[in-house]
Amino acid sequence: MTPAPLASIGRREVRRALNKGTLRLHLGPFVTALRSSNRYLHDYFLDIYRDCPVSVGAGIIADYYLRVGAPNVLRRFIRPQVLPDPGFHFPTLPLPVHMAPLALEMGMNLSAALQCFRFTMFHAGVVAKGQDAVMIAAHSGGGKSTLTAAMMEAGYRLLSDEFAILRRDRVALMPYPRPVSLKNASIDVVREMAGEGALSKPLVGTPKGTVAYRRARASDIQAMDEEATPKLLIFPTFKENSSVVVSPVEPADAAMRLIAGSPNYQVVGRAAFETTMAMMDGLKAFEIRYGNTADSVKLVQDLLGEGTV
Amino acid sequence: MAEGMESTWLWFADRSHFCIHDMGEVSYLYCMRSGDTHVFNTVSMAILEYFAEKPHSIADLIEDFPELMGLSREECPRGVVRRMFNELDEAGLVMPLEAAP
Repeated sequence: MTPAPLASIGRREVRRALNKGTLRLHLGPFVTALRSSNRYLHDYFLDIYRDCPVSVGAGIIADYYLRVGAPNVLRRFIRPQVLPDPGFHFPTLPLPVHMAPLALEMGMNLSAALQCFRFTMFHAGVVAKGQDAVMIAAHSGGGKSTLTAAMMEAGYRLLSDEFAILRRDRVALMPYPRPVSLKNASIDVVREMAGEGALSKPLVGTPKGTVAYRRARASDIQAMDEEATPKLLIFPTFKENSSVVVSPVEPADAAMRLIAGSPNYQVVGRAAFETTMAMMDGLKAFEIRYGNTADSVKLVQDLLGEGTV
Repeated sequence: MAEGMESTWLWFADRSHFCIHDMGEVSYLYCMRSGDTHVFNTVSMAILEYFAEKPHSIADLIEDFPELMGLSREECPRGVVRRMFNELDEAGLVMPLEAAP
C-alpha cells in the first residue's frame, strides 16, 4: 500500500491497524510500526497525526517497532497503566492509561534516539526558512519547544521539535516533523498564536507537568523530504521578564555542547565527527536570554539574517 | 605514575588513529580508538605532535618543552608539563611503546 495521509483512511481501519500492529507511519527518513489498543492513543493519533502519511499492512518493513500498552496483564484492568515498549529495555515509569499520547511520543523519541545510526542525531529543535535551518538546542525548560513553535507561527517550516538529524555524507538536516511538545505555561502561549485547533488536549499531572502537543502543519509534512542547511545554532534560556540578551558562542564550545547532547554521536563515529565539524564551519552560534516569545522570534530572525550575510 | 618510570618508558601517539579539524584557536581531535572527540589548544596539540613525530620519554618532554613552545625553562614548570602529559595519557591519546630493562 502506498502511504496516504492518515485523514484519508477510514478511522475504523486505522484503529484496527493500530490494534493489530499493522499501521506504519512514514515520516521523514523513518518508518515506524505502531501498535496499541489504547483508545486515548487512537484518538490522539487520529487527530494530531492526521496529515501524516501512513500505510496499513504487516508486510511493510519498519525502522522502528513501537508498542504502547499495559506493563502487565493486571494493569490492563486495575488502575490501568501504559508504557512505551520500543523492543528493548529502557527504564521508564508506567503512566496512567489516559496519558498514552505521552507514552507514544516518548516511545517514538526513544526509538529514534537509541536505534538510529544512519544519521547523527542532536537534541535540538529545527526550523527553516527556505533552505536555511535554525537549530534550537536547550536544556529542559530552556524554551526549545516554545521557540520552535513560535518560529512556525513566524513562517518557518518545522523540521523537528526534538532532533536535528544530520546526514553522514553531507551537511544537511533531515526533517522529522512530529508534533511539538509543549509544557505548562508554554501551552497557552502557543495556543494564543496557533489557535485552539492546532493543539492536542492538555494532559494534566504528567511527570513533566501539563503537556500538550502542537500538530505539525500539512505544509511541514509535505516538505518532509526537503533537506535544509544549518546556518544558525541557538542556545535559548527563558527567564520571565528578562530583557533580551544575546552573546556569541565560540564554535568550539558550541560543537562540544551539541555533541554532549547527541544520543548516537559516538556510535556513528568518524562520519559524525567529520560532518559535525563541517557543519560547525558553516554556522553561527549564539546564546540568547529572553523574557517573552515575541522578542525571541524577532531576535532569531535578525540573527539568521546576519548569519547569511 | 611513579617518578622512576619517567626516564625509562617511551611513549608515542599514532597519527593514524586521529582525525583533526582546526576551528579558530582550537583543534578538534577525533580518536578512532575511543570514539571520543577532544578539544585541543595549541599547547596540547604541540605535545601530541611531539609524541607523534617519534617516541619520547616524559623526561625528554620536560627537557624539550621550553624550546618546543618558545618559552623559558622557568615558564614551564615540570609539574605542569607532567600534568598535561597525564591528561593525554588518561584520554588514551599516547601509548607506551616499551619499557626499558
